[in-house]
Amino acid sequence: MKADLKLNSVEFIDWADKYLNGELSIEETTQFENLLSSNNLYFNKIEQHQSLLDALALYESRKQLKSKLSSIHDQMLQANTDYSSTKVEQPALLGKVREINHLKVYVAAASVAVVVTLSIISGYNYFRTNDVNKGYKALRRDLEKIRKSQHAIIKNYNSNTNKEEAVAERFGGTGFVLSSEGLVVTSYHLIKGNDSVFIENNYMGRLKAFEIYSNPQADISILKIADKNFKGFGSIPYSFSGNEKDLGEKVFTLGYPREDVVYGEGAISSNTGFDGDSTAYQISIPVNPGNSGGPLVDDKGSIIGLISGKQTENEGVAFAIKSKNIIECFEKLKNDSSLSNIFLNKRNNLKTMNRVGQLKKLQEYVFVVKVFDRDTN
Amino acid sequence: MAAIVRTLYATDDLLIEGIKLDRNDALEVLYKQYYASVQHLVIANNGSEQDAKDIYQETIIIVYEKFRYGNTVLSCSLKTFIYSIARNLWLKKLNSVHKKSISIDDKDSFLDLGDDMQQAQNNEHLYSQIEKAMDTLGEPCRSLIEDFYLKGLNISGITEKYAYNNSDTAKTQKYKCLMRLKRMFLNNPNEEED
Repeated sequence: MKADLKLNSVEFIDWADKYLNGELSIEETTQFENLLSSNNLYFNKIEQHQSLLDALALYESRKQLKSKLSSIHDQMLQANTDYSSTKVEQPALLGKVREINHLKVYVAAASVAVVVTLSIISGYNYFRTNDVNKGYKALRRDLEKIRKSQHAIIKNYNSNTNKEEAVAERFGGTGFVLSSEGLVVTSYHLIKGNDSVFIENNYMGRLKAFEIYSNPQADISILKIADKNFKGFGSIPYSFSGNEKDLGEKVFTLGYPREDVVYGEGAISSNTGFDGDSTAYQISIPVNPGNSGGPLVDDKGSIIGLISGKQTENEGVAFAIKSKNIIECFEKLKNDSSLSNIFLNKRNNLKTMNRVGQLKKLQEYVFVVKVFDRDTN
Repeated sequence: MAAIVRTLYATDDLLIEGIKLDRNDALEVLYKQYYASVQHLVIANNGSEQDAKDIYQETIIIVYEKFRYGNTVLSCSLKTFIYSIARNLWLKKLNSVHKKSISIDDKDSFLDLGDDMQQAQNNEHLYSQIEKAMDTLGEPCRSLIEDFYLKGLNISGITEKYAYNNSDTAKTQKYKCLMRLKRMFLNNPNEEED
């Protein structure tokens, strides 16, 4: 067994803060969770700490909200506008508005939000605080899991499997960069119905993202990074192929079926997916649940698909959505949103590299997608 | 822009979606949309303009926190929901002032809110506790806690801003301030630091 972590009170809080913020390395996280599981005392301590931080987050959120409400109120009195009397819009218009799909709402709201943020000085703190709040809330669920696993360990001292599960559940799947403006493509089934999404890898750290476009039929979602420190991905080394690939073509993928990025290779084994689905390929790459959303790349390093799933009965049968569908989603997002100034990269810089070089470069643009369930309190 | 924004949030669902996404413009629409009905409620039942404002803001805070951090699904219109919360709050206020049961003259429909109000009360209690703790914490602890936990300044930033010798000193100070805050929050000044 590895040497146990020993922390004094000051160090414990320091580690706890880093843990709750997701700033510990994977080894450190494991060490710290081992410590939490080892003794109820530590567990209670971090829970108390979390409650205090929750209260602090509530404090900050309300303070900001109160000041916003006061300024809205003053503005309302000044304008002397009676909204309840002007509220009635033409019925025809209202009917139309109901039909607006979520995409438009998200995008329009996002573009409005930019203006609003610029005009409100306190906006910076406000948005951040809420992120903090959500992050902590979401992590609480993990603590619950650890507590459960802790009981399990006490009961079944030699078995270590429960705890590994508790850690693994924080990893949702894979996603990769679509364009340098902070767009990341992933599987819709990974993120559907969840309200807090983070992407993370060794190069960019952890970034908060939100769903900006989804196509449930195609099982494709596009995320946009919403982190204030995010400056863009720079130039992207790969291109997106719009052509169908041939049977037998060698392909590979990078994904996060576990904490570390994992490489898998194989070939296109059919031009149709599950149940004859012509929008997908069947591929002979061994994939696991966390591979969903990862890129399917051809020998030359262009993106030809998105790993979507595997057949449950047969080992070694996996499916990937053809890149044509990703391009369509991207075009749809571009047309329907204020993000008209985005382009898919056309230059493939991976072409002349060997596989090792390709993977080194590609790794920087592939992320683990972590999804947290909506808190249900 | 105002007209566009209002069209954007023309239904309850769209407006709630906007609140969930923490859009300032959605909050503004929400606030302005239902003020008149609550104002009428309060003023028609022995309240002043200021009372109306206070009750309404308290109501909006509850609604906001419900949608933003909870998983609330509305079983009625947003208007009825807001009116019901405001009505509940105002009734409580009237009862506490007059020390007897008061009835309210209703113009709008309302519904009974059991758990919703309980949750809101818990939050209110939590908030007043932490607010009091922060207000009595004193400097530099208050700023240090705010900088680290709310504004996201890291330890090296704290070391620099508060001119500590090194990051270990900063961590120790942060810890001491946190324990102080915790004692005040739990309102238990005798609890040991370690």
